[in-house]
Amino acid sequence: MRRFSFLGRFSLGLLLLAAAVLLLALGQRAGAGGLRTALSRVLTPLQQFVAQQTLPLRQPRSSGAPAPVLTQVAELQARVSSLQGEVTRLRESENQRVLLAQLLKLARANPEYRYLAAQVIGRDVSPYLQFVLVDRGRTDGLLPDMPVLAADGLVGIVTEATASAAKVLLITDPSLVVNVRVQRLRVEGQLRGSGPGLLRLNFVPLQAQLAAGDQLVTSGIGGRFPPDLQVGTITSVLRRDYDVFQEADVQSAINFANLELVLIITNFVPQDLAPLLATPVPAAP
Amino acid sequence: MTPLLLGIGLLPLAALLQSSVLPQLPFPALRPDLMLVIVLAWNLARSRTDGLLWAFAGGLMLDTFSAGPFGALLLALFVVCLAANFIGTPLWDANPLLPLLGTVAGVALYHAIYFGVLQLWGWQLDWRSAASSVVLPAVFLDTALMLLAYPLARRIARSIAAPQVSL
Repeated sequence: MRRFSFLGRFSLGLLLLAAAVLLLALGQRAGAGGLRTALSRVLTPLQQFVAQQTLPLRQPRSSGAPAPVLTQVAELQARVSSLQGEVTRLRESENQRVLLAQLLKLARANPEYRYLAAQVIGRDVSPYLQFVLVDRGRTDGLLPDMPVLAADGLVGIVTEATASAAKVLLITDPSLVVNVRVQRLRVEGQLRGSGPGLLRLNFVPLQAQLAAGDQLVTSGIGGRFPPDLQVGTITSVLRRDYDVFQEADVQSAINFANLELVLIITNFVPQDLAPLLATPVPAAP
Repeated sequence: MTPLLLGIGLLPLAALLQSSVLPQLPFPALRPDLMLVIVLAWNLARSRTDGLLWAFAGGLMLDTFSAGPFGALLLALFVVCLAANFIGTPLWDANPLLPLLGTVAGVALYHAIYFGVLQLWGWQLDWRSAASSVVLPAVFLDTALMLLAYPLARRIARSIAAPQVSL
């Protein structure tokens, strides 16, 4: 009996292992993609609910309670608790108002774009990937490759959208390259994530006199991001005489760990430059 | 309560906590692999088929909340739990240090498999920075959590185990 039980468990283990490998191999194709969408349909509303309920976790709580007063202790404690709840809610509303006002200011500064506000409802469960999940999806008009902003600058790009949610790749992820311009010097370079919250500027010619404090904006080169969006500030420069290019560490003004609300530009069409960059093949004589 | 019902309640909760709540806590750098700890603790405490089903379902849920290759977290989680499950509860019970050592090895293997899959899929990652900033803290944090999770899982596993009848 015990042997049969082990054999059954062994067979099930191998079967599930094979299924896991198969799912990984299939990736986004019909079967696996459908499974992911179905799971997402079930879990995303739960995630939105949890994100709403845990919003106060992002804010410091007020502390302190009245000293116990004989017979009215329970009543007063209940009242304090209720008032504290109200204070937390009001503080949360005030924070949301400030955030929305900042986003509105940003939207007014760039009136040529259409924006959609979205709330961050989760983060990638993998510590290696810099993604956030937002509560807007295809039904709201979101599509992959749409740029995402916060009040203080560029956040990232939409990579995947389901009906009610979307995944946003942050500029701090090493797989996302942003073409930028140093505002003061008008020289261009490439910005890439180099770890959680860290950015590294590359491919800036050695002749350019980069300095700490220089502001970076998107250059628009490559057609993936609109030009002139604020990206970050240079904090230190790494210049070696034997190199062709210099590097710099860049600090984004955005606190990616506490990102709450973002704006998605919905009317920016990324340019596909691949056909223009292809090497022309000479015609046969 | 059956293991199936327990899993249905616990696993989505773990996935939601790991995705939406833990990253908001004051120390975002300290992100425990909650799902791994729970599912591994269950497989250490109870070497039955339900542990394998938990690992599979938990992995699928994690992949739903990740933008990485679908199935990568599932594979990493499942391989670790499969090994723990096949080694068997009698061995893990033999010495109180063994489950902790198993956790250290399990967390390292989980991250190694996941990191390997990401590299195979073309993600640009620096293994030295990953080892120091992600894997090492995760090993300490997950092992510390296992100090709570394993005794709890053992207690629950014993309370729902079928009584042994000898004829």
